[in-house]
Amino acid sequence: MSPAELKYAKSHEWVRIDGNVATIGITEYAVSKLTDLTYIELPEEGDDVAQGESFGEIESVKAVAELYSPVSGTVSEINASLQRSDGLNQLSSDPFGSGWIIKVKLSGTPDFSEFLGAADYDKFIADH
Amino acid sequence: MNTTPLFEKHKSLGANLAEFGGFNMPLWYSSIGAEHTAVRARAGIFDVSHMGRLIVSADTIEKATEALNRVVTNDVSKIKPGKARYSLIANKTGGCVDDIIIYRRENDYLVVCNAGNRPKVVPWMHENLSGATMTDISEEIAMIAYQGRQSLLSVEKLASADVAPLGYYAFLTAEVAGVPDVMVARTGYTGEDGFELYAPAGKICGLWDALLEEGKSIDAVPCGLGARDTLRLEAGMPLYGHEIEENISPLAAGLGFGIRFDKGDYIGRDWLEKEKNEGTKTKLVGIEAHGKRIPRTHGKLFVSESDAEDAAVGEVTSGTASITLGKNIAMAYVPAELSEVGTKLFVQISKGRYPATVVGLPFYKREK
Repeated sequence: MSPAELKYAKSHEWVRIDGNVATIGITEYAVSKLTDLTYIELPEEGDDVAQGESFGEIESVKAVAELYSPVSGTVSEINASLQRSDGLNQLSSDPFGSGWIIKVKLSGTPDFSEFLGAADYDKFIADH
Repeated sequence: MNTTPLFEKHKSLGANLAEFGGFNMPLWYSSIGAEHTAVRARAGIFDVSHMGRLIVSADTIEKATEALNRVVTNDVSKIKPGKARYSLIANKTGGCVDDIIIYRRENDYLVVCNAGNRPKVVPWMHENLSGATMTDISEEIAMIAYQGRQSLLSVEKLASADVAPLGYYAFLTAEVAGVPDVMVARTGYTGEDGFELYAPAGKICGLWDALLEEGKSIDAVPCGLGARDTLRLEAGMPLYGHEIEENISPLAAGLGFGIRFDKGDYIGRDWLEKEKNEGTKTKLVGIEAHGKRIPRTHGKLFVSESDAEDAAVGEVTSGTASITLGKNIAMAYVPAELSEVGTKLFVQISKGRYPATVVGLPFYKREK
């Protein structure tokens, strides 16, 4: 079950809004489908990101996947611990917690009309 | 999409499935890394029933030999009963229809071809085999690869015949786990010791269960095509559609060991002989990419970091993280003059260009 307090993109990113800051990660399902993670390419603090556009890449033995930002704004923090040796294990062990990827200071009110709640997201991945 | 007779087994084991060669196949069960490591250290069990299995026969074995010898590049007449050889099916224009394993049985040949190529190999054989018949038994006979450093321990226990003395690329017929007439071959696609077992489709689930059960004593695990790919790549083995193609010379791929000229005429012989004498312009090499990123299929190679995009000198055919070696590796075609081991190149990965070095193939070789 995906956490109820998050919103989910169909491209398998999750987002949590606290005031004007969005915390972004990828779902447990995405991590399990990628398997054998080897590398993550992160933006830098201060970079601008736009909703629906790539902010980085995640790589596994099998494939490379783009990471799409669920919101527009400026990167205020990156989870640098992911880039340490074995840091990517946090994505497998705690994708909705310590495996968060970036935080973004929002540039406006995000439009989440295309996003799914937890129950709908779980249904969405079950149908895949 | 096609499925193999083991499809329900894969689903109940929780396999992650993906399309390959027209079949819905397991990509991995636990993880590619864990399955890969299991084969290198212990053993893994793979469903390879998606591959094509074709019988070539005639009134006499001599006629079958002669007919098959005109369609393949290796010398079929040199294969003794109970032995197998790798060969190519060359096309008429400078590439390959497929790469195959030919098993010489007492009275006929079993040809194992790639799943995705079966729809073109079957008509190619029908059209070009003269004086022999080809029967597609892919659906009647299924196939399991039991591969790994300790694989002999399990197969030995389950087989009625002594399989230990079987040499590489030799096979015998035995009762295995109560299933009669299983063809047990010491062949594989992992660079490790191992077996491929051929049994009637209706009996394959029983054989699968018996191997999984017996394999528990050595911590053998079911393995998907993900690990099959990383294992074969470490072992420098080519994959059709990547290193081998309709428009790629098998000589450039380093597959000369499967191409003979001391035999009669066969399809492709003219251009192969010409190329053998003149040398190929490109060569397949091993590439080690330095840094954290993995070269991927179609990634371009450059001589300098700042070359224009159109100045690419080569292209990656397969790439992966070598789980055994802890390096990022690839196979790639480069001009012959840049194929020497130690040559420094740059490989395009996503938006960046990373230093890489030409290294010898295979990347991994097992201790015998």
